[in-house]
Amino acid sequence: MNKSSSTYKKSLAQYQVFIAFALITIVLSIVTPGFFSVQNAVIVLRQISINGILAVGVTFVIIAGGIDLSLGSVIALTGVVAAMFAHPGEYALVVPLALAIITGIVIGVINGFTITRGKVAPFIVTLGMMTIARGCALVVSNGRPVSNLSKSFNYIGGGDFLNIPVPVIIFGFVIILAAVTLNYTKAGRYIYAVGGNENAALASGINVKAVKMFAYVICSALAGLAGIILASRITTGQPNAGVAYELDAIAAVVIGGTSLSGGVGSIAGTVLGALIIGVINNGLDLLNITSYYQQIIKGLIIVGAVLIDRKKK
Amino acid sequence: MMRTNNIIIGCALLLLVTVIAGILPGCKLGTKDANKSGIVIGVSMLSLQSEFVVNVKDAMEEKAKEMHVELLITDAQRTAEKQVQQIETFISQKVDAIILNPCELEASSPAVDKARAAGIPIINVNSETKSEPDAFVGSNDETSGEIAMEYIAKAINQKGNIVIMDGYMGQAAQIKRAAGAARVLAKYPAIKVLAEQTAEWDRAKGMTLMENWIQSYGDKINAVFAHNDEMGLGALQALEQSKLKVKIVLVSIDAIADALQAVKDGRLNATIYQDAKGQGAGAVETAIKLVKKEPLAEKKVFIPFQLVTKENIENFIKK
Amino acid sequence: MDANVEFILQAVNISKSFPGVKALDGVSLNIEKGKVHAVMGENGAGKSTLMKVLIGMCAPDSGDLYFKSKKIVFNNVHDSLKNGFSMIHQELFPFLHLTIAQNIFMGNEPTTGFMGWINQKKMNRDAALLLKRLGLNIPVTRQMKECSIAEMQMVEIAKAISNNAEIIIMDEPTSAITGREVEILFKIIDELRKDGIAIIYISHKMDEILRISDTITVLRDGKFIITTDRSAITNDQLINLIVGRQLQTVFNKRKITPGDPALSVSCLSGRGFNNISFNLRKGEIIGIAGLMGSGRTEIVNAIFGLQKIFSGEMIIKGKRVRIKSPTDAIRSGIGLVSEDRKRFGLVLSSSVKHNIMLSGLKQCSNGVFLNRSKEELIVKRQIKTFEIKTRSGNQLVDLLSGGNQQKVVIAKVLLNDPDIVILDEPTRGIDIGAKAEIYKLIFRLAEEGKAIIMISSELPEILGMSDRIMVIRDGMVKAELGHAEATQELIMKHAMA
Repeated sequence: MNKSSSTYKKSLAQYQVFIAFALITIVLSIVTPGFFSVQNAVIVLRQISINGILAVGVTFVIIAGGIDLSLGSVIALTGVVAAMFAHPGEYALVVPLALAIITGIVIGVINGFTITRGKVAPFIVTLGMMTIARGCALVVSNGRPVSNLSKSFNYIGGGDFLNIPVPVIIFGFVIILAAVTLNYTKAGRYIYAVGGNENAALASGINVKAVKMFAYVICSALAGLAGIILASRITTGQPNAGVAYELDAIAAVVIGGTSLSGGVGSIAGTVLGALIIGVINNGLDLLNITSYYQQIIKGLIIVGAVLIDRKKK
Repeated sequence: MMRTNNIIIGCALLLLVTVIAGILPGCKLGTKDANKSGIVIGVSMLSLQSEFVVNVKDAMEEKAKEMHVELLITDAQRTAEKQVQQIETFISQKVDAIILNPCELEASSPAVDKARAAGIPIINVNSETKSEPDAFVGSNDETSGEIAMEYIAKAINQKGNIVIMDGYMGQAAQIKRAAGAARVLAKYPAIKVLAEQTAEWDRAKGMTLMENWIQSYGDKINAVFAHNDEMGLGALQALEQSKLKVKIVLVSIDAIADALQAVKDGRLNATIYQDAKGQGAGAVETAIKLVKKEPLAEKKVFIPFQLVTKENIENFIKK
Repeated sequence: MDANVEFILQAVNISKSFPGVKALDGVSLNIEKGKVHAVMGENGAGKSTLMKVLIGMCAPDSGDLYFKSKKIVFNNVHDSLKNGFSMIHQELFPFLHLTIAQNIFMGNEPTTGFMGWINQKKMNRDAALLLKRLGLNIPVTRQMKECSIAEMQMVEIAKAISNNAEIIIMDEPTSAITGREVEILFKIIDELRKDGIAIIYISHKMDEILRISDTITVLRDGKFIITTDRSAITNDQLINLIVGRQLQTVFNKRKITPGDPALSVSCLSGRGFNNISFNLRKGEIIGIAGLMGSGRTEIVNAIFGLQKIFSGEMIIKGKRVRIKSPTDAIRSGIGLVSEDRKRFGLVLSSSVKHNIMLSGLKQCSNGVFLNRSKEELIVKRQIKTFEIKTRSGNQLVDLLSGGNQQKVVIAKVLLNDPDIVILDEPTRGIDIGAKAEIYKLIFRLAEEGKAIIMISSELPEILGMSDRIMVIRDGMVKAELGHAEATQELIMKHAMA
């Protein structure tokens, strides 16, 4: 058995994602006018911040051995909820923000509860939640976009602070908090254990149900945050926004080297995964390559990333 | 184990009760009581997640109430297959007439064929199918593309660079709006299309696409044409953020509430008003005529598109 | 190499390196027809790699294989299978939802010749014949998931025979089956031998090897040590060859007077066991013997909160405790080293450090955040105390040898300083050297005053370690034997009845 190369195996995985990202960036910089600039970097960061936040959230769930397919719908529901309370001159800004995130948390609790207590497969529970949350978004909004939002609310998604777009700043905070949680707290450590081997975690005295619940709540709460940013960015709460966003988020996680079978993964990888997707979307748009090819290329990269991952093992 | 099961069953019941409580008031039980004429019309709508379609539906309901007929409204959720199933159900329910808001040109045609074979009058509303229905009430989408592009041509003095944001590729509305625009563009060789891409009718996607275009072409762009208002409003935000809006003409189609407001505020140059109310009400009226076997003046009723700009905005904002 | 007609398979000078490790270094092996050839060695000696080379799962860096005196090269397992090689793996992965017959003929179904329909009747008939030949009396239409591990093994052997195997490799075939089943297996091996099939038999169990084999080859550290006739070697010589050093008496005599009561269990019942009562004192080692499936694992799992207790009570240090989860058990001072370390002991995708700390994170956290430098110190201490051979705490636990993995589990369990330590098959699948270290460790724990419950299928082990032995059968205590009176025969008598 090869017992020597194990320590840096993990970091190597991250290097590879980083190298892939660097290569893609270099190639795009050469072939695409206007790609390699601070201005465009800011654009890319702003564009990936929503998917990035979702991806960071779903990283928790995937490391814990689960999956969340409801994110796209949760984003729509929380966005609509936020928008309904964000009309100018009605409530203080904290009201829509708090309500959206609370809505996210409630959905996370329902997901987590059904999965842990009801012992239903996460795929099924969150698939159900995907349509339930979408339906709720349509019910509360009567199927219409909720617009006419206050200036302060729109600042969250559209404003700049010190020349940095606010969503990017929020994304930055989310990354730091998530990385600290996974690496420097008991809860984070337990998430890896539960995803790596649920039985062993249980036998080690870990409250497996609580850990899973925690992961789903974090994930949905971050979806709530993403919902706020999306609604603010497009200055409406759209009940049909965010369709298939969960798949982009999961793609970012997978490209970032997190194993869908749980127990392995990192926030850094996920962020790089989101960056790769964002840079490619942006670069191909700049090159005016039709979206048909964009979809093919994105698919190839997802499968390619996992292939490289397998090859290593 | 038992306890857990009970909790789950309890939750499920609670959810069910909530849903029922939520649905009941919305069900408009009154419609049934008001159905003095005894006429029942089955309606299959493209998607009740789209604001415009919801507006058409609302207009239908209003008209139905006024004419004392009962509507059975279903949502095909953008799938032709589901739509065909819904029509089949209507046929087995023996409704008096069917109003179809087709999902797709070809794929929704079997729905029309089946209704006609069953001898139930079928009316297409808003868009067309390959198979010919008993009547059509709607607007010709090509005209909307023509009106929009003519406006742009005029605004940029028939020369310059434009970008075009397409709807979901392959859908009837996208194909026709693109065709209308292309027909106009052929007349003005000095107008150059820098880029044409789909943003899938979506506001966030429209915004992302516009940001990337601005990065590519910057102030070379003179005008933007978006196939619908959602994408147009997304593009508007991207343009405003990069302070380019003042120089660039932006036109989109549908005249949804947000777009009208934007026209009023002078942010969006123009939108094309598609008369949801006229289409919905017209479809119900035509259906009733067909049921009562009254003669139709026209087999195809075209509700005209109207250009909405700051000058005439007041006429539309109240509608 | 000159052809010797007697040898059906010859492996000559096989070498294979993995990055950093020379797994095989010029190893040769000559297999005779109709003989049982045991391959022995500690974990990491190169047995598995050699077998992988033989069945084409990995290609050697150098060296040749001769099958019936002809040189052969296997590119994959399929090649070797076609040539009459079959391997019964230590861990079986049958198709649980298919029948025995379907499993036997998987990939090789008899067809009607017309359009390739599967001839179900013929398949079942042939399968029944095969099982009969093996002296097995189970219906071939039974689903695999309803079979015991031993029966699954038999099905694998039947499959090998149906493939006209001439060489069958058995990797630790008795690691998951018990006494009576081992007897059946050995009878079958005898039959196969008579039919002229060559068997390569890998095991750690000395007594089995000495009983069943005709020839023995010993590997150590990837090197060939010896091939000898069974009759020409003794138990002690063999141990010396395997470990390469003189092993002191494995079970040291010890003198401990049991102290205060640590755990008192009365009338405990649950799924798989009934009315279990016993008392355990500090410094005492109780051995639990019994066949697999007798309910012994269920008893300790229930004590540790992994399984539900229907009735009965437990008293720890004079106080009645209710244990509903491992969390409760750990809080009450109980630690469990589970029987199946890959399923219940370790998170294989995590590092040694994370595994050791799994249930003891509160020692280096303020409730929420971890103090990682303190954690580092604790892990270093545990690695040293338990003599875990690892490059660092950050190494993936998956890459350690079985013995070291087991030490990681023990280090994890003992980090919480439990008063009562339960060890379920603590030496399963680990080599002799590591076994001795684990015995030493258990004795040391007893000396420190910990109360110990140990389950083992290996009778010499349980006899050597325990102060008292409980024999479990059908979920009930059938006998309680003192250290002095217990013998292998007596235990088996009560266990099998």
